[in-house]
Amino acid sequence: MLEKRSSLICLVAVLIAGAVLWPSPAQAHGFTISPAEINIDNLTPGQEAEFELTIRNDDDVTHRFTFAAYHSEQKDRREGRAEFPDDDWISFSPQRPEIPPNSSSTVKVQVAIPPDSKWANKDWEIWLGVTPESSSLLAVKLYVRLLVSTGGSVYANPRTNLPIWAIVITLVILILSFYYFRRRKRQEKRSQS
Amino acid sequence: MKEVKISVIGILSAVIFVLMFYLPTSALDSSGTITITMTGSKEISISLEPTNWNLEADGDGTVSPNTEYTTGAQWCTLTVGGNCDVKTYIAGEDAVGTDEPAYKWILSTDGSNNVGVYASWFEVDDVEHGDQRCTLIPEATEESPGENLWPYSGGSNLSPSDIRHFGLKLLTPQPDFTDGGTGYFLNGGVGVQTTVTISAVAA
Repeated sequence: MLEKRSSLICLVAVLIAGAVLWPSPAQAHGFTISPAEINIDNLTPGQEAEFELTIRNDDDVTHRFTFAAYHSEQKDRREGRAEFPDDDWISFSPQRPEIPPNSSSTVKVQVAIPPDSKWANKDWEIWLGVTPESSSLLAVKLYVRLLVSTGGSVYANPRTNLPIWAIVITLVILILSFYYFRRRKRQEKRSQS
Repeated sequence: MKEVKISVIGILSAVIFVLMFYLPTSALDSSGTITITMTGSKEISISLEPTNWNLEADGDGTVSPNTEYTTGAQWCTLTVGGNCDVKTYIAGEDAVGTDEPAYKWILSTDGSNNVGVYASWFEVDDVEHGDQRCTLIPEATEESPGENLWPYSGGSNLSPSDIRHFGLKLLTPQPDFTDGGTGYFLNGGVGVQTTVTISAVAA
């Protein structure tokens, strides 16, 4: 009876040791992004729009995720949508978040269209790709569709976008006024003497 | 007194000139309302299992030149999570030496191998959905996420909780050199690494 009990204890100990030393096979490699599609309407060239993406790491280990913008082919875009002109107009913060297992995090996305009338009244689409950094053979990448429509006017921030030539003309007017004022002063002094 | 007036007029005209630019743009600022629509609470998710392929050809994960290896068409299980229908794509890339990044196997674009050129395919054998394919895996580019995994031609998009199976096939490059009638790779005994990316977007 004693022998049977000690064998059972040994068996349990071996099973526990096995579970610790030989971990279970790789779990499903998954994560979730929301929302899956974002529509920005009436974004005036020269202005910025900001929104948040939520990413949930459904895996059992911590992953670092990378965000980047991707141009999609015409056949894969929504009807009537043209290619987004420049992915430098989109920024992510943070761009490479590290997310613990079974946890969520948010990433701020900023879309800034340059203040140029040629970007007015456009309908664009670009994909925001998210992928975990991994050394596995198979990797998952999820795309969020970003649809951007611009308004008809152009917003130019005067403090940052005042044309150089306007500054030059303003300076010339001021210098001429000052010069004229000095000249009149001298003439006045001469006529007095 | 007259001179002071002239200089004041000059300064005023400069200020007005600057305001000519400032005022119309300020008016625009208050006119437009940006609308950001997050389409419902749509979530997108897919998962894969397994994610690694242990090549057992020689029992130790090594591969021989100019040889085909296959996982079998039921090897990997793709499960659609989230709550929206998805389109899925598959793309590959060049394989790079793990210890020597300069050593590369270029991904074939036509299914043929060569010295330093390998090919890979994905295989689908789904009797239930009438889907049997063995398609060359293309390289991902900035413009394309790759070949359609699902839907295939005539198929439908995948829906949440859908499960599909696929496998991989590999054709290794021709030998870098031959010695005594046997082909070898230059980096024999050292690994090469590559990634096959399965991507998804809301349908």
